[in-house]
Amino acid sequence: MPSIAAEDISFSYGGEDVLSSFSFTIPGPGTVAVLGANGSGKSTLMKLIAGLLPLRRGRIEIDGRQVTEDNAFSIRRSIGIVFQDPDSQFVSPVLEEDTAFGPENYGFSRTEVMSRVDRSLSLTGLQDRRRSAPQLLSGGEKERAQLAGVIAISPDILIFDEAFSMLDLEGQRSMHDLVAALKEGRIVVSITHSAEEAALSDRVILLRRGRIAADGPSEDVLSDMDLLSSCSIRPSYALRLTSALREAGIDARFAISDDGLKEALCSLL
Amino acid sequence: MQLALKDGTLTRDGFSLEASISFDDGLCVVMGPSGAGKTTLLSLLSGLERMDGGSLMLDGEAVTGYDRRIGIIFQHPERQLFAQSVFDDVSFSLRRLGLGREERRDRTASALREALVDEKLWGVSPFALSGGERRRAAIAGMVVSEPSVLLMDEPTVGLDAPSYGYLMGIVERFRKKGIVVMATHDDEAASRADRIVSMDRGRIVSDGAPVDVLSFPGAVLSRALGLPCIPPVEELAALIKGRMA
Amino acid sequence: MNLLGAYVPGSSPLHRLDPCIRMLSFSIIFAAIAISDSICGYLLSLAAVVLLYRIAAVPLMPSIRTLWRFRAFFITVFLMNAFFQPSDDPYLSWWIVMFSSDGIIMGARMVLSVILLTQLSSLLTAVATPIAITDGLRTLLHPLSILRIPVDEASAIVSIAISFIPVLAAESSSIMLSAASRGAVPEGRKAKEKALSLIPLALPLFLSAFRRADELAAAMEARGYRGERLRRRRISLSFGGREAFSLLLSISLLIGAIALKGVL
Repeated sequence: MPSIAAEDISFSYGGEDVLSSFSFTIPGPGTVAVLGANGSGKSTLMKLIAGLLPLRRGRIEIDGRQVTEDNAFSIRRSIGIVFQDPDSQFVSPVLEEDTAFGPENYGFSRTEVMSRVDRSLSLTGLQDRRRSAPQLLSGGEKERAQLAGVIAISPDILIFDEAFSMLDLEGQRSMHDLVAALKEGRIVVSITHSAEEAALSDRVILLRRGRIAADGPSEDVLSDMDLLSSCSIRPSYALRLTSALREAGIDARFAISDDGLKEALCSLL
Repeated sequence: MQLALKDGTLTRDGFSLEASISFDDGLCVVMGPSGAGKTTLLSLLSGLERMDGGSLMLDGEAVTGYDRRIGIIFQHPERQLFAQSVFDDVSFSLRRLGLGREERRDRTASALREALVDEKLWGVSPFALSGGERRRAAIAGMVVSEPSVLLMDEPTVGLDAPSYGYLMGIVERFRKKGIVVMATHDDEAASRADRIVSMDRGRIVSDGAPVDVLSFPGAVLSRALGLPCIPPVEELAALIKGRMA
Repeated sequence: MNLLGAYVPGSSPLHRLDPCIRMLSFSIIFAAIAISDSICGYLLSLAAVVLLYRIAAVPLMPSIRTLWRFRAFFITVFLMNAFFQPSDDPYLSWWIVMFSSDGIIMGARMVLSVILLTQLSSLLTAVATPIAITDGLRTLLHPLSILRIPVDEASAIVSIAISFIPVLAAESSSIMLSAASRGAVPEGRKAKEKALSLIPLALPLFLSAFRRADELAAAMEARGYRGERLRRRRISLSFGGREAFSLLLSISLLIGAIALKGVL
């Protein structure tokens, strides 16, 4: 059972507090969005959880084990991160070699590595591109290639660091479908600045200047326009439209996503 | 103003682009899947990228190389920052305009104010700014020269709320007095366009009105209501209410 | 574009060679080129390089085009040697300038060596991925680790640096467009002015390289990288007909180069 627990964590950089006294728990599988504007501390939080930055104050527990400098490596195996700019992530100009990188680092045998690569590539639908250069794939395919490299290690926690912001509509849709297929039994954390992307998760942790401004079901957090504005987050189109309808006197339900908007409008007619 | 690209062709590393298109005053949005050639098209329109064939004309005159009337903002403009201070970086593009020092100073100051960059930060290194401020300062550095043609490549990616407001303000201001061509996959930003050009695999495949081309809820609703264009959210709500009554 | 560092996918015999033997063979051919000092020697090496490109099914023209772009450099090297090489029997002599046949030959040798070596290097990076190059170098240089030389890390550094070349080249062209759009053109007559006017181009490129390096490091660490030593080597040394032939070919070339030394 995957779990993430952060207790009283703080982080400073260059004398400035990037994160101040932060606590939250993700006790089991599910989708969580960490939503915040630039400078809210969301990237730093991700790096602390992933063990890419050293934690000086507070504690973080992954899967029940406290993260220290000694066991950071073995704990990292449970965490897979898909970063934002795919062009800086690939370690090989041959896709299957890149996908094999992770398992090779963990010392699996050649046959084990190959079977993991096969499984990852078919899960992400890239089997027929296995000898292609990942750098030359389309935007959406690149993200999938990154994901393939990450799931080859079989992490039970997946973190997407603004991974969808550079994709077009088509790419975003296919990535979301893929993530939906992968989220069984896993914790999926999406780090984002987009309310629309956050709406795809069940729970939202909203950050403002290094502190938690809200933590709850996405339906609740993302339908509070004032709260979102105070955190410099643009409310989703669906929310703005349903709010405008309510202001015009129509009793529409607050919607936070396009699907929710469809439902809200249908129930009006 | 009129910007016309005729038979523009470019082949590079296995990718080939072929396009003929002209732009008048107003906002034109270019959309298409990644790899379709949007960035390449914008580079050609700036006059800075050499074409294999074809011509680029601005108001009937050929454009060859740097032209002070054309400005282009690439993706992640904050990556182009280099000067010792924010002020110096933003005023950089004014050097070749033949303006006096007073005027350069005033224009830079007003561009920075419009970009919501606090005056206290004008003297610091651009790398000391926050991500959002850096992005806005980089954009300001391009618009300070007030080009008549403003080209933008995916400017909305990664923008926080204040920066988005600033960017849309720039778009509205420039479309009224000249040509704005913006590549984006933000449907809502695209809904403001006078026209949407779609690209695929290096070719322009369609050229139409936002209300016909887009598929986000605002477009769907506008079509259902028989509107000729996609109104902003408040207006749309009022129109829906009117229709329901 | 056959830039150094750009991998060209394929399944030619060169692509399929064991990484260590491939590295060894290429090293022997590098040595052969370095040792050559006669026209026959260079012709032999040239023939070998062209043959290898053919076998690998990697196009030669793009590399030649890149060479052409650097013709000023080659011409300068040639002229510097032709006019400043000390000689006993010069055609012309005045102050430190000495134009002689020795100089001409020296200049030709330098230029030819550099051309052949760069063409061969481009070929190596075209048929071997950075990871394969790392593996090859690590295995080949392993004996040196007895002397406490960090062979594994050095190999990884070399291959990662090589793989960054095409990425940064692409980025530099977009940075140049960006700077050009703000009117930044290398200008100024004095060297200092010209250098300063390159800052809008050079600084962002440096920063970009650092940023990418940072991001790559984070990604590699996140995928469990702890240094080369702990990585299981991908392919254990395989030695078949291909490998034997490759060693034979390269050693013959070396012998040929040695034999042709001094022959004009």
